[in-house]
Amino acid sequence: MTTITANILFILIMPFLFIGVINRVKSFWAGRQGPSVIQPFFDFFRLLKKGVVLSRATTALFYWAPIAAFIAVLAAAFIAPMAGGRSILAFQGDMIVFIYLLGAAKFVNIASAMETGSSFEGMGAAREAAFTSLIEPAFFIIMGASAAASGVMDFSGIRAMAANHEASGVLAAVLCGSALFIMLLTEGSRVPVDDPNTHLELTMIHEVMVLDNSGPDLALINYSSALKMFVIASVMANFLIPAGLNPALAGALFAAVILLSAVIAGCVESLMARLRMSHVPQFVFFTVSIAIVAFSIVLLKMSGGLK
Amino acid sequence: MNIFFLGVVVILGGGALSLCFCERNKASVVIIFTALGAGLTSFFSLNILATGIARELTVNFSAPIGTAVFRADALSAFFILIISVMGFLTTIYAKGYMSAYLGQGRAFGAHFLFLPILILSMMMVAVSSHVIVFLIMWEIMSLSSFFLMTFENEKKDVLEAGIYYITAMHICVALLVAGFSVLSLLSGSLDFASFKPALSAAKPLAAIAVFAALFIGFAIKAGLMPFHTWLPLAHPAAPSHVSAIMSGVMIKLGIYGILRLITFYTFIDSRVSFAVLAFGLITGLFGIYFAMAQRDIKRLLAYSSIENIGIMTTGIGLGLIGLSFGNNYMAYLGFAGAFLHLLNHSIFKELMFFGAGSVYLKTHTRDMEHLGGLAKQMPYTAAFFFVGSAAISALPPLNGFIGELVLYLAMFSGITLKFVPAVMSGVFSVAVLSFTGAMAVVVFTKMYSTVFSGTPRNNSITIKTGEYKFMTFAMAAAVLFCVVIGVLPQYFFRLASIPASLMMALSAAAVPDTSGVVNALQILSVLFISAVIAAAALYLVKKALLKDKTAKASTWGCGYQAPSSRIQYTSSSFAATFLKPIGPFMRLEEDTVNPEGLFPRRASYASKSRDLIAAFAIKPALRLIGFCMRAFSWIQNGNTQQYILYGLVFLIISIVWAMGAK
Repeated sequence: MTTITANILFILIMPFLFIGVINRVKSFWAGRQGPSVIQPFFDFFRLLKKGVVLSRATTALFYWAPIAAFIAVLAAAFIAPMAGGRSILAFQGDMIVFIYLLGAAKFVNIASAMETGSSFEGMGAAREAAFTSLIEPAFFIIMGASAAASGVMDFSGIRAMAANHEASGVLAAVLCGSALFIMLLTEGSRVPVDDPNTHLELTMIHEVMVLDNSGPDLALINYSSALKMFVIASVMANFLIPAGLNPALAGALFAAVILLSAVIAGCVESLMARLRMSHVPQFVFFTVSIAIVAFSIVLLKMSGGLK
Repeated sequence: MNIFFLGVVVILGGGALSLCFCERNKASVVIIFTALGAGLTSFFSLNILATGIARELTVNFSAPIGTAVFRADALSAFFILIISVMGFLTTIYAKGYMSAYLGQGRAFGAHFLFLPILILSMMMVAVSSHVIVFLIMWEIMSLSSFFLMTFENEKKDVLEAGIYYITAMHICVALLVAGFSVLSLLSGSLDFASFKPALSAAKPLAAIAVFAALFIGFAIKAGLMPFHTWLPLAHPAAPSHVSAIMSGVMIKLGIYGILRLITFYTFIDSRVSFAVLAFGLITGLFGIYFAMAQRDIKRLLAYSSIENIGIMTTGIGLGLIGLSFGNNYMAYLGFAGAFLHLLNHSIFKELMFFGAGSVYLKTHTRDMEHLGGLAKQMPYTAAFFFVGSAAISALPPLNGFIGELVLYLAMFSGITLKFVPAVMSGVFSVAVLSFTGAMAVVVFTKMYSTVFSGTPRNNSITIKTGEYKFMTFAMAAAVLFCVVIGVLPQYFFRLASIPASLMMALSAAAVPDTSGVVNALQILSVLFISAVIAAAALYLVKKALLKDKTAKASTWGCGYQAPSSRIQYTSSSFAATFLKPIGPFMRLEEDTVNPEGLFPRRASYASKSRDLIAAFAIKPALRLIGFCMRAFSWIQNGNTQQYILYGLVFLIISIVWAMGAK
């Protein structure tokens, strides 16, 4: 019961804080005072009160899409392991369902962007579809590494990876965590893949896909996008937090790691320029490479190659 | 078994009786009789699946067949069920689709005779347990589908595709005849049941050679790479319901053949298992990759069928690897996943071809670059097509996901083995299958969006509004299956595990405890149903929030005031983002005329993708065969006297031989 309450609280609060912290860090680097970290909450409710403008080209799919995408990400959040490795639903193969639910959200978002018939949104949709397609194999290789190390076929295997505090296990876990951080930046459309603050439509990916969404739709889309970053961050946090802590400490540490990843994302965003479009696939492919290295470490350990 | 044959006779009777009716009513006759017959056959197969008791019927034919056995076990029953249900849906759709061709003096009689014959010959293939009967039924299946697909035989490309198809099918049969001949020589019998002891006594090399010949034969039917080249030609040429039944059901008989072939062996070499897995993964990956570059809706769907056949073969490969490493859990889930995916694919692929057919009837083009905005003219077709696209991209909560989930579990159970080859193959297949899935998302968002979303790209295409009743009904039924299997997966996993248990039993492997999987599927069922309810609730909330706060406007053009439908992303431009970084693997034939001078007169660009395997492997091979065959062309020179001479020579030789034999 406490797990369910805690996780639901995390799901409700953390995505907003995540965005708030990123924005605050960016304003720090820019030397501005910046908005408060709870500003995203206010933005959410402000958008809910507004009306929507629908394009004449769209059909019912456009109306349903933000809801369907949100529900898919929310379902993924029910499966994602959070503080202390506990998730609301845990079963054999939960990591497969997790990534496919995120895939379903992506599918609906792309279809919704194409509904408008806008060339800009088509461009964003095509880019989103192409760039994120390497993420799933990377995620599965990471999960393969954790399954190979732990011998179980669900998210609980993550924590077994570095459980013995052996150098190889810890190294593999850290590598998996860093691959997931790149996945977070890619799926969350942050710098260096995409710049959420750019004002030139030609250079945007995710932001350009939602040009025609307004009001409650936009609120839901922004929240889903933040929630998606949060759930990926929570999988990442489970690679990095040692197992066997007491629940209160584990919870605090979990929140700290999530917010720290938001700080790092903010720093990356402030200190790095967005990559040239043609270099983005290479950056995303980096996750696959890191995942393969992590997997190789596990495999070497297993076959007795690492002492 | 009598019920089954009664069903078959009823279906055949429907086809024969339809000859006596006028064009308009033929389809209805076929629908009624197929409903009755398919009802009987599905009752028969459900009975076998529920009780697990195989049925047999021995019939004494005259020479050369002799005593033939018809045997229906769980494997046959699973296929009969799919053929019955999807065959029936096809006849319903056919009524709507063919109504557009009424009164044009076309060969309706033949069409509605061969449609039931195709359905029943597929069922007969699944129960024939005698080499000659099996091959006869196999041939009837290929020929009836050939006559069905060449319905519009006045078109040159249809005929060409038909000839290509029939040639491929005969190469397939030639390999089957070769493989089965060796098998019956080894066993001294034509009954399938005699092959198992014969093969376990045979030399390993002979056993592998037989496996290779029959596997390639069945792979041609199934469309495994590199034997897939007939599919992208045949499906666009055929009427849509024929593409649907060919792609949704008939090519699965190739998979049936492969599975039946496996049951002949007590032990399969692990190298063979890895080869089967590799075939599956390569077919899956390149099938969807080639699909990405297609502009023709049905060609794209044909490549997607190739991909899905690859996924099923991957499952079979996992099953075999599990068996050879003694990991029964992996083996069982691999087979069960393959069966589940087979069932699912037969449903959503028929759905997609039905949708493509409706689009074609409305617009008379299959080129996606000219379509767009159809969702407004045909909202039901659009909605069904969307569900089909999501299902075929294996997205939850639909059926496609369930099959792939079971396959992923099989792979992960290989990874947890702590045995390096199993771990490597598991991770490799997980990575390839997930990349295949990610590409499927690109392909099907591209397909749905360019056809149904946005605004029409070519205003010269006029569209009649309204939808065809029978076609919409057939699609609705398929969508219902997709959703039901998706939200109640535990029952269908159990259904698919019946033939999987048979595959395990035939290899004398124990059926493992899969309560973990069933438990996971039950949780998923609850999760998916509550997600659907939550989405509906949110929709109502959104409606309430937006009450009289909704405005309509034109799409935001980023300041540009005169957008035209020509500036939309097309299917090619959508795929280009993906295809560009991996350019060298995808050869585009480009035809560019650059603008020149200060006042350029004309400029154009056209591109066409081609199938690398067809271009660089199959075509040169065919050319080589053609070159060799030309050396024999003097035999057939059109001179009647010479043909009579051949007959005489043949008679004399056989008389001499017969006398010599005495």
